[in-house]
Amino acid sequence: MKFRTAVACTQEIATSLRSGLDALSNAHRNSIIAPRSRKITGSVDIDAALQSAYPNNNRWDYAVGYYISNQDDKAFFIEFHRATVDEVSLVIQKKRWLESWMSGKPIDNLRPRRFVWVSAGGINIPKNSHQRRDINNNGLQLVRRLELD
Amino acid sequence: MKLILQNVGQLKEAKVEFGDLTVLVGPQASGKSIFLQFLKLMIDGPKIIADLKKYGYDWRGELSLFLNLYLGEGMQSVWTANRDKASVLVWEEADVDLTKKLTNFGKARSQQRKERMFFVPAQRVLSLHMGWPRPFTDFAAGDPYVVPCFSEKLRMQMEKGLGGGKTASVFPQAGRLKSELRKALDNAVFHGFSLKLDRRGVQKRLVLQGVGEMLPFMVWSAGQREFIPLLLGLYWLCPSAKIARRDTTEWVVIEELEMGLHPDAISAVMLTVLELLLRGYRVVLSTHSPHVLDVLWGLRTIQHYHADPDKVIDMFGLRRHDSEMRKIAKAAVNKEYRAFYFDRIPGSSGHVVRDISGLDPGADNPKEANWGGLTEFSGRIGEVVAEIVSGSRAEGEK
Repeated sequence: MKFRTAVACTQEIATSLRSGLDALSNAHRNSIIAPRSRKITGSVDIDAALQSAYPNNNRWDYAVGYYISNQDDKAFFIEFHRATVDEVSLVIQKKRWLESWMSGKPIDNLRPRRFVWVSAGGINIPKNSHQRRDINNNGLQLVRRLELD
Repeated sequence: MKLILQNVGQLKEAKVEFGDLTVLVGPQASGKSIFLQFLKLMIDGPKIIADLKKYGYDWRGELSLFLNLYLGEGMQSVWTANRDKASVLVWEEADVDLTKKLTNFGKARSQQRKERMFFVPAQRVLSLHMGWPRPFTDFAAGDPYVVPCFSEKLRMQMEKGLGGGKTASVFPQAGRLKSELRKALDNAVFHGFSLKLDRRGVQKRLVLQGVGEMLPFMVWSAGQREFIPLLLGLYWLCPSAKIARRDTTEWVVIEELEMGLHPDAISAVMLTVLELLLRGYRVVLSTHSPHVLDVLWGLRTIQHYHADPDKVIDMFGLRRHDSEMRKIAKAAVNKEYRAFYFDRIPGSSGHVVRDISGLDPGADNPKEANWGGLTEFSGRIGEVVAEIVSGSRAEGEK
């Protein structure tokens, strides 16, 4: 499925689709490396789009589409967050909330997809800690910068 | 296959059901080694009794003297007949009367005296003296049986001609271990050096050979001294030609596999453990290394999500195209993996064994989440760092 189609068919975020990485703030955009930026098929600020509907939930930040074929786009679900051990459970909660919100909606059909936690300020979660393993165990990747590929 | 020990040494209660690969973790002196030696006794009892008799040891039918010989000097007290804390051993669902069992082992026929378990002890570095494996009789009566037994096996293998080819090379050696395994071990442990047989008259010794230099045993690195007996043990388990398994051997125990090794070398040895699984051995490891449990966690996750077996190759950072590695990977995803934690009972010196096979880093049970204490320290450091860092909001955070 194509990213723009999936977003357009997902009512709550349909009007939030932006070109390229325009949905991301400038600071966040600096943490994304896209050697082939023309492959970016759009972006959505999920957090802002759903703020009024879900004010009390731990909302996820962004979704970004990336061209892989004429039929499918790869989806990057990106959360910008400080990477310390005391924040691990919150980010995992956010991911679970995102999955629960997406469930049954067209945006849930995007494949392949990656859930990425970006911490531009540095990563303070030891690789050998159970918290770090818990991040991976929940299908999340933790990086300082995200290379779209 | 299940072994239960109660009130044996520091083990209050230990119940372990073995998988194809079983990993035991726990602090020092928590009973892992005693547990493994009792497992060896149940599997290889007739061979052990025959060996001890062959080398002239006599325990006069007394269990305590036997335990001193088998487990090592001073170990007679691990087994107790005290009414309220009597030692119990259950093997394959049957209560074992240890004294009677030893008598029966002594009456076993020669076929039953064949060894079924290859035991690589934690003290394996003691098996080499000046670069050559020591004979059984070189050890003292009070040394744990598994040490001279291992050493003797290495000695016999060397005397029978390992390294006796034209190049005198013991490692690397074509036909011994798969080429990717050899490469991994070379990169992690040998760094281009080869292990060679050096003959001087009737004297033989193992040396490390570099370009224009020959390094004898005493100048090997600590890690190489620890690793080479293990390598020789792995050679014994992985015979050349097309023989999958050695003789009657079904079980392999490797105590503290990581001893003296850098994590890269631990990865290479864990890859070799997967080769042992491919060959049909049932493997039991004891370890203090989270890397070993990392491998188990990865394998269990691949199984849980029915992921591509080639992910096993990815775990070790190897190339997917190698057909031998793919065989190892394919076999690995069909094996059963278990992990157990030898946990100290608060306020006592006793230990109980907990099943932490789930290895879920987010488990409610902290013993499982921390993998039996192996990642607890890193987690705690992370919490202190978090406290310091969380004073300021990171740049760019929403």
